[in-house]
Amino acid sequence: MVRADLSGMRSARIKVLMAVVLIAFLGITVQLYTLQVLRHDTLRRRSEQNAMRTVPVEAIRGRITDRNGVVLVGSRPAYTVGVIPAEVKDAAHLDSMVCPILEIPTGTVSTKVSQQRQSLHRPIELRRDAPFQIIAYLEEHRHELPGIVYFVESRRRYPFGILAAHLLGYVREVRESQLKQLKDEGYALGDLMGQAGVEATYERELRGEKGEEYQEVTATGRVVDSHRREPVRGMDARLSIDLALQQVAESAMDSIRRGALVALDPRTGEILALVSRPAFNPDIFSTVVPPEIWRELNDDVERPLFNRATMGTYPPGSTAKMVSAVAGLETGVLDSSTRLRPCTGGLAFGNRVYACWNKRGHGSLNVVHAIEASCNVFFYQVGERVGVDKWGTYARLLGLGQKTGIDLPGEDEGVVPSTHVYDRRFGKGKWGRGEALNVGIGQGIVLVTPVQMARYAAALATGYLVTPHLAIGFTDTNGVEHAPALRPPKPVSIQPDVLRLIRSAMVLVTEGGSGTAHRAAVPGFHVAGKTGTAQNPHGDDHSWFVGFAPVPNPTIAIAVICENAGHGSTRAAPVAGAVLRRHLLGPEQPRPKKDEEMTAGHPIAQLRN
Amino acid sequence: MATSRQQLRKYLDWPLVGAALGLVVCGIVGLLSATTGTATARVSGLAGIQFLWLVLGIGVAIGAIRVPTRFWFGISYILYGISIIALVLTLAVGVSRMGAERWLAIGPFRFQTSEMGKIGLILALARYLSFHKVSVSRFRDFAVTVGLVLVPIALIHRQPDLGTALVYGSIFLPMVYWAGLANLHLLAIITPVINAVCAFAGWIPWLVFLLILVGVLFLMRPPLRWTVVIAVINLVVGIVTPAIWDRLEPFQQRRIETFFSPEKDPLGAGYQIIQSQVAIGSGGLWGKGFLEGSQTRLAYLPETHTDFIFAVLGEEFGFLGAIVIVALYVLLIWRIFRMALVANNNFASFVCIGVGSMFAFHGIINIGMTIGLAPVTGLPLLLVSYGGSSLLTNGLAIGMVLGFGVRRFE
Repeated sequence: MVRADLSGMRSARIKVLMAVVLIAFLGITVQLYTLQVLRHDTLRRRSEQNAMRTVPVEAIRGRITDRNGVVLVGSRPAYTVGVIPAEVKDAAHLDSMVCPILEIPTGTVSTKVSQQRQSLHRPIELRRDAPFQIIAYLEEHRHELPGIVYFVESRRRYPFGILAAHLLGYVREVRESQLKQLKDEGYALGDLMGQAGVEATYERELRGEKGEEYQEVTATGRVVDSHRREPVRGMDARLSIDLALQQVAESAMDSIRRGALVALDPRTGEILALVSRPAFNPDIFSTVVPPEIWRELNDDVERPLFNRATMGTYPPGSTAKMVSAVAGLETGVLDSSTRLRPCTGGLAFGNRVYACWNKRGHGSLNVVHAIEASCNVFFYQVGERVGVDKWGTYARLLGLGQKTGIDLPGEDEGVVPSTHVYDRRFGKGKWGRGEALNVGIGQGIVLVTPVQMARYAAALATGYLVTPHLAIGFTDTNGVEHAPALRPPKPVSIQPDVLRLIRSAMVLVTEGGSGTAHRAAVPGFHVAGKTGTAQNPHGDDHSWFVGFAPVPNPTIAIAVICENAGHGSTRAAPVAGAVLRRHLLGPEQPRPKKDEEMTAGHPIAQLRN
Repeated sequence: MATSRQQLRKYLDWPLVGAALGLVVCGIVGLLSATTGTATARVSGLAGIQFLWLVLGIGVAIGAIRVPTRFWFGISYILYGISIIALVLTLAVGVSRMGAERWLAIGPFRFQTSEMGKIGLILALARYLSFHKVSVSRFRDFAVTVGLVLVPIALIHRQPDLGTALVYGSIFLPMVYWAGLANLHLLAIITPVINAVCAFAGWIPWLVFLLILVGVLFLMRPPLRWTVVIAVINLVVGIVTPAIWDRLEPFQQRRIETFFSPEKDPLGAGYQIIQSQVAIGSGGLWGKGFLEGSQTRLAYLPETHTDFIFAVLGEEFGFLGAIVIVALYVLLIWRIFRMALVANNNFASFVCIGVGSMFAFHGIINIGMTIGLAPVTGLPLLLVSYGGSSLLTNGLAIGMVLGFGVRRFE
């Protein structure tokens, strides 16, 4: 080979070699430009996600106290174990390692991890309220369990057990169906949320504001740096409940299988005690509720989760006779001395006889004594003369047939009769004037809730319609108490004379010779009351009592219903009596020996002594 | 010594010296970053060790500059022979029943043999090809050169080692090309390789490749005999590739698979490729700053001190920093290749091509790997990645090339 040829070939070939090198490095430069300039934003975000993990820091939920500051619902710390999907290397491995320790069904980890599609760096709860031994174990085996984390959360604590369960309510994990609407408010899968009672109504106040811990983590999950935005504690809610009174109410209701009690301050609407039976223990909701217990609670025919005080609707029976009386007096059908056709134990109307509870008959009565003796025949006639529409108007004036506005979720509004309602129920012209007779004694289609009846009693007591409410103050983290906005009591447009007459009649119910509620009386005080024995299609009569005390200047109004328990005077009145005694006489008073005082003659006589 | 101080100062290729030193400095900076305050403690202190190696390497390079060309010529076959023996020894020790500790003690030795093996191969090939009677157009002579490459490849301890095999091939091809291998013959050698890669990539790349091949053959109008040979070889490779695929080690299959689609397995095999690109891309134009790379510092990047050191630099010094390294590499390769043209003897010229190709291949494959253009082969970025024996060997190679330049007018 000639050397000149060689050098000629080589000067060409070096260009080829260099060209190959340059093309390759040009390709590299283009790719570098693509990554570092064109895709920079995406990849920078990616690297930040890589390094930063945001762990929510739960806010401590506010406490709930009674009116004197006694804690009814508190908080205690609890460990929650979770899994961060993005850090899981081998879900099956975690399943076999972690599930038995946490005592959760095998496969839970892989299921939960595969379900989570977004925010893969966010821990999903696996086990709430894990005992400390589990946490110690997890800490020891941290390196073998990538993705498993734990954190402290606050759990609900109920120092008084089932006391006031229905009004306090409970917190549960946010349901998936709720999550869609709540995402904007910062709720995440696994968060606790008030789902019933005051916990639900004042969720916003009690919840506080979640904090966040920003953790810089290595590829192996070790936290190298962190800084946090502290959570804001939820506000403490102070309720108008009086613990002592509530306790008395609870124990008085213990003998009642199903029923409810509402006691409130007639001047303000503040609820002093509220009971529903049967009750449940809210503590079972403080951790994950096993499905079988949840099913049991929901399927129970007694419906223990159902708050009868605000959601239960019942025919008011004789406790609605004051509506009839007011309607009669206001419309001029009656005056204080009007005597209608005497009671002979029943009233013939149309082609049937409407019975009085007293088969022997009450004879001729004025309105006051008709209330005292709870004579049906008298009020049949009032109902008939007033008519369903007028009756309904006055029932509405006294707060029936409408929500009371109490700060508890799911309140029922009940039913108040009118021509329109009857037409809709039975068809136009398909119901007779006899319905007005039934309405006159609180039967027919009338339905009320216990809280409505307590408010109704308060309206009769004061002439004002109040808004029953539980929350009377919220204390923020600075210790400042904020009062919730309240609707002021609304005067009822009923003549004061009429109300005065009604009150005196109601006092006779507990004190008079033919009164039916002597067992609700309190020595030393005038108690106004009215019993009711409501017929209903579901079995035995419901036993009612509504009332207020002391007269004049009442400080408590009360409604008690005992489902299918018979006469108002025998079941509901004694329960109310216990609460009224506690309220009026205080704790020192030794329990009156039920018998003598109750049965021995006229309380008025004792009063005079 | 024939080299005078004056001559040295006058004819020393300063751009080449600058490029090499620039790259080594980048390496130290990258190493400092990769080992400072990282989550993995095992690498801390490596920058200091590397600095010591650097001093030694510069010493080796300065020494090598002064060594006369005929010395390299003289020891070329001996060096090649030693590296072959070392490979055989490693293989023998590996086969015999040795405890895990002995195995680890053998480890660094093996590493050295493969580093020195590259230099041995370059020198041996250069010597053989520079022999005036040898012509690569003759089958027998070409077969000898192929034999020189295949023996070390066959002896490489970890069989089959794709990365090292490719390096040896990448040294061999430019050198025989430099020796005057006909374009047609080159085509017959290269096309099966590209063919195999395309066949791995899938149906469409393979068909595209076939179309281009047909076009090239049509333009070159080779003799019918060669057309048939090239066509047959390529068809055979196209058919055999799937069969070879099945015989690859699972980890190699995974490497190739994840190269083509790293997102399929973001936590497993694709992890390195994805995290490396995230690191480089998140660096942006200016970079996150020295010691500020979160991907590096938080150990999301694998092998930051060796294979993925470019990603560290790319993250902390951005596009501009990356371009500086690319430019230094191009400068280095250009100055070495240029020396092949100006060297005063054929042996030196071949050595320069071999050394230049080695740097070019390592640079392209390593950087290409960190940005998702090349498969993860485990090839270090020469002069930049951590590695003592590598630094010494490369110092020797660059010193040798510089020496050829200094003596080019003798």
